[in-house]
Amino acid sequence: MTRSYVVVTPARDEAENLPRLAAALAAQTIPPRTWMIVDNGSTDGTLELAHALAAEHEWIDVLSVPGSSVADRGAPVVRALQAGIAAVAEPPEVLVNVDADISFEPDYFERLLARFDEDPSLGIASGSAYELRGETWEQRFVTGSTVWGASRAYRWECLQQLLPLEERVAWDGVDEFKANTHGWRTAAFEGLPFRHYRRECERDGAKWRSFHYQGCTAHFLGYRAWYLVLRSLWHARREPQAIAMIWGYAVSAIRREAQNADVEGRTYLRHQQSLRNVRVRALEAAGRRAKVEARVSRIADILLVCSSGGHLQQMLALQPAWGNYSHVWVTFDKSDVQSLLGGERVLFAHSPTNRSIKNLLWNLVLAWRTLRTVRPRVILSTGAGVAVPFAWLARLFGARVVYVESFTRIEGLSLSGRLVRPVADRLYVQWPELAEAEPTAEYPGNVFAR
Amino acid sequence: MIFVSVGTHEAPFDRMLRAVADLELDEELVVQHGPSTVRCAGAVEAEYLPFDEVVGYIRQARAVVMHAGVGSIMIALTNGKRPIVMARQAQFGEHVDDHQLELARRLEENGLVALAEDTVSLGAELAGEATAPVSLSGVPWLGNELSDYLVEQLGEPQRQPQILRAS
Repeated sequence: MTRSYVVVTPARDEAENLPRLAAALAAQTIPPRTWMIVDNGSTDGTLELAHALAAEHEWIDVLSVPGSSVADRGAPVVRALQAGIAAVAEPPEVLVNVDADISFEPDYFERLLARFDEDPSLGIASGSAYELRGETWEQRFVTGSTVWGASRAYRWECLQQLLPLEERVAWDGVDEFKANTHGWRTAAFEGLPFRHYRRECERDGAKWRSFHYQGCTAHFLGYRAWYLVLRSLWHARREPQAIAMIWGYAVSAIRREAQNADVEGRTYLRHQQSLRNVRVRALEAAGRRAKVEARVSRIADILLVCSSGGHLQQMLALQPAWGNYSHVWVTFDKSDVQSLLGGERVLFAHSPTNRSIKNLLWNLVLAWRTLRTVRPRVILSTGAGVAVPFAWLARLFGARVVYVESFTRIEGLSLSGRLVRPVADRLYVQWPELAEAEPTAEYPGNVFAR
Repeated sequence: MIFVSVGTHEAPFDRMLRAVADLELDEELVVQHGPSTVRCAGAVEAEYLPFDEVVGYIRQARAVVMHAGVGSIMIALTNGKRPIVMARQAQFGEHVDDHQLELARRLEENGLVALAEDTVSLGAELAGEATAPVSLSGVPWLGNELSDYLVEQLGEPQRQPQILRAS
């Protein structure tokens, strides 16, 4: 059973944070053999505080390395971490790099070490980060194999294969994929939360710069260009500054900056970023997002999207199927809606949707806001045009899309049906002859037959 | 009682109302005439009825006569009536195109509506016994499949059924 672990914390101006981390470590059900605080040029009394803590607890050690006068990112932290690793007298089973600005529950390391026991191929692992947004702690999301830098546990054998660490920003991304190329598994575990008290890079003020650096690093690693673009757009959903990644990547490419000499590693990376794998990883990330948010902030399971009139009639005819799930409506502000949906939660979309670019854009905005707030797991639509923006954006939010083609469509799909088809998980039609003409569609009967 | 409605389209549909009026029916009539100018003698009339009342009349009616609009047909079908429909046609300025006629023909083939072209065929339909929409009884309900999929994705529902409107 894995019991021995050493914690290394590079610290520059962390006097405010160290006491909290010290308390969290002291409270562990399996305490660390050593906590190595590596001060690198603090001016706020961090070093003195560290010595005071070390005097109090014999398992705390302090190390001091020269700091860098400018806040150049990445390199000083890596130097401090390497100094800490070099100072370890007797190899532990696991070495953990822990940032000063996090804390965790008393069983955090017990549970994390158990993961190393369960899986001998696990090389690098962390819990999952929660950050304070407003007044609630919210989980931040990454794809499955990405380990948080703020709490990073290395199996000692794995760590030996990664040294020396890259002295640059996003060094953790580099070592992670190095570990992968050596056949180690890397993972951030759900249900093993740690609290991060400061969002990464906020202390350097400029998120722009941080994302720019990430772009440079991506170039160093040999990222595929389109993957980098997708990645920055994906992050830009929440942090618009992520666009700077593209800039950093492009500048490095134009200047023909040096790239990772490890050819095998680059090949591995490009394989990871091939279309097929990216799809799987994105679904994985979206799937987990959906699962977690089901617990924390879901307003309704199903979003019902339809026009008023006949489309609404068809949705209501299906009510026995969806009525027992929590739901929110998106439809038009028309008289039949007013009288049929009294007491329901209804959001009004912009109409008409036929041939109106303006209303399409407004509905895109509405779809974005609605999906973010309601977080439905399924979008059910009986048409027509209003379904299109919701269905497309639903994919980004990990919701399933079910489209029921109108009963009036017998020979061919409607325009809305054709536009939703590429993103629909289920496309139901109400006439057998239409299902024959449309291979992606299923004919399970019609809505009125009940 | 016979419920007659030209729907909510902005063009008049006098041809249908004249066909009804010419039958000189000895039966109670409720008519939603919209912008049409023709009136049926002795009928309870309204330009537009609130949705609830439309549904109420459809349920009470012995027969339902409607323009062949999608919404109107749907409301009739969802309330258990096979409507007798007349299609608005572009040549008479009743609509922008003839899609109502195409839809009505297909639905008639499947027994969901009765399509009347003029006074004579309308009279024949009204004289016959009202029938339930045929193909609604023989085919499966789409909701069964949908329900299975939702259970697969969301698990069994936790909440009590929430009835929108008592039937």
